[in-house]
Amino acid sequence: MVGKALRILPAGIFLLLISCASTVTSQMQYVEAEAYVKQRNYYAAAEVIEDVKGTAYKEKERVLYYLDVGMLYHYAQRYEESNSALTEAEYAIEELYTNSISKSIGSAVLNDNARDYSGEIYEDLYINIFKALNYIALDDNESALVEVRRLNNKMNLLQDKYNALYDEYSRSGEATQAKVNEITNQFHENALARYLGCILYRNEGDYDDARIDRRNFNNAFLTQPLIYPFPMGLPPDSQPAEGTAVPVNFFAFSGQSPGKKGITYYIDSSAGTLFFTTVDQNEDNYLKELADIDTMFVPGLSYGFHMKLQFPRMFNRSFPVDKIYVYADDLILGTLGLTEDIEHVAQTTFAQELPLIVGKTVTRAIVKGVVKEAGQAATNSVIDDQVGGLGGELLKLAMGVATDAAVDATENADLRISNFFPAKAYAGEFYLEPGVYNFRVEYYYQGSLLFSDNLGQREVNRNSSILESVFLF
Amino acid sequence: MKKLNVTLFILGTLFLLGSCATTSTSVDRIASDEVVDLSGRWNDTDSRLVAETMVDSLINGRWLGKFRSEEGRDPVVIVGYISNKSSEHIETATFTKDIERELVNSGEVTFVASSNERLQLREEKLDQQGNATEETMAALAAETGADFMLIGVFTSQTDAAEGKKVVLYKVDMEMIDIETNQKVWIDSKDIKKYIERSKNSW
Repeated sequence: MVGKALRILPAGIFLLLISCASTVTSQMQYVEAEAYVKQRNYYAAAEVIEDVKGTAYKEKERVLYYLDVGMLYHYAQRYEESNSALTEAEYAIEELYTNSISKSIGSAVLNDNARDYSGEIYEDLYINIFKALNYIALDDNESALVEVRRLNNKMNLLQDKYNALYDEYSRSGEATQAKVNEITNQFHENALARYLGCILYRNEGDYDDARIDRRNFNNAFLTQPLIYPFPMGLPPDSQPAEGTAVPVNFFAFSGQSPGKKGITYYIDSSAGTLFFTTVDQNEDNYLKELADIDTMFVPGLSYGFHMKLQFPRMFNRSFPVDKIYVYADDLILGTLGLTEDIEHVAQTTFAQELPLIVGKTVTRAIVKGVVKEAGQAATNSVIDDQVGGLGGELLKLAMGVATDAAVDATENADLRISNFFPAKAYAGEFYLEPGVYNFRVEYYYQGSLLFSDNLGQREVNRNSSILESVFLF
Repeated sequence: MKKLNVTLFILGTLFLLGSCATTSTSVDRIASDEVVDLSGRWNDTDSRLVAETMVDSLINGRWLGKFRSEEGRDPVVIVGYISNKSSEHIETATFTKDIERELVNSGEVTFVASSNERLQLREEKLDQQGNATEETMAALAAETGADFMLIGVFTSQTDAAEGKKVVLYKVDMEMIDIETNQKVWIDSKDIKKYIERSKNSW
């Protein structure tokens, strides 16, 4: 009996450990890719990501993969490849509305990494902004407008998406352990989409729709102070100005959208003492670092209790930029205004989902702990009966450590998040006489020049010229 | 001990069920006119159905008989720009070709090449002036001018909730007299799709 039990237990542990290979978020590929991004070699960064397709990005991470390469191709000005990848991501997010029951069970037993990654809410929205910018660069105004309309449609469906998350949580049975309130959507109007839509409709000569998007741009700021807690910039004109000068529109993107790291809490007991250990994750290299150890004296407590909880935390990666100047042939045209705080949108929408994630994690860890303790008690009893003595104690200790390690290995926060969206979007409109100009965008903080982006020579003609500058690092 | 065995077995089996799905590809050839709806998005069947209905309405419109009685010949038609104001990327070139095919095959109108096609043809004709024999060379300035231009616009409206989606595609088309700018025929065709995504699947 004991021989059989001791053979089965390691086999089970081994199975769990092997399975856990796909229940941990892969993040190390970003270290190399970001080194290239810092050099503005976006194509090389995209190649790094492509090389780890199938390893760091499995089938269930396809949304993440396409988002990462799609954004890098956008910055690399490979607009068709970017559109292709971002479209794959968008369609996969749409298809993943259908939950896999088997994977839901997997996530309930192990962790959320077992599920297909279906994208953060902000990712699903801003896909369309960057696809629209791709089409603009490809001189396809009509398709860019399709993307703007798609984004506006998605804004109407956000509450539906939150309901789906809540329904899934309720169905999982975890809701019986940890009650969480339903989520109310607070994001109805996307200012950046309306800004872009206004320009594109105006280019099409559709001034009524341009006027509507201009009005909705204003409404986004007036009615959603939680999403847009900063002063509204000037919207673009909805009609062409009189005279010979033509509008030139600039979009600038700075910083990286938030990353995710795991905060791990271990609870261990020795005789009369509980230990609380917190392990943080380095935001640059993703390595784990001991953050804190605390103790609590509990007379009568015995040795051997162990529990691990790991929660995802979104951390900001932007840096301060307080002025962005635009130059044409070395003459200042003006400054760009903050139009969309993508980082803030990501944090706000994630914060709304967080209670569901915490509820699931706590319930899952408790259930695993109970199952593990029951299993260990049964094993210890068998060892006491069949082995006994010092050998038995050592065997029980070894079995306990192995079981704790195996269960710990299954308890990982889902840290998947696309790595290459920008943190902030700025926009501005200026008027110039038609002609060819050398454009430059400069990013400043407290009077110091952070980065100068030379956009080169561009032709300004009757339709709005839409130019883009990127400063991720 | 039995409990432990069962727990381990369930944990392992559940996870393997969830994570070890394999993918495979199979390809079947089907008839090109067979209706296959996968995603619910606009597809080749929608394009063909709308083109057929539109052309049917067009050639049965009063404008055709009126033109024939006044001019004593079939009208010359060109398909102009069909714009996409929907929230889907619709391959309007495919739709334009479907319309052209249906119009040509109807035999009711004379059809001339589109502006892009004409540019290619003119280039070829210019090339012939220096390279083809006099007997076989196509004459310059001998093109057939169109009497009417067919233009159109795609729009769509989406309503969705709880995994259910209704998309209404609307195609509006107009035939315009090129000389007078008069609209001689207008029609629209709707395609409404109800798409339901299951919230759960194995």
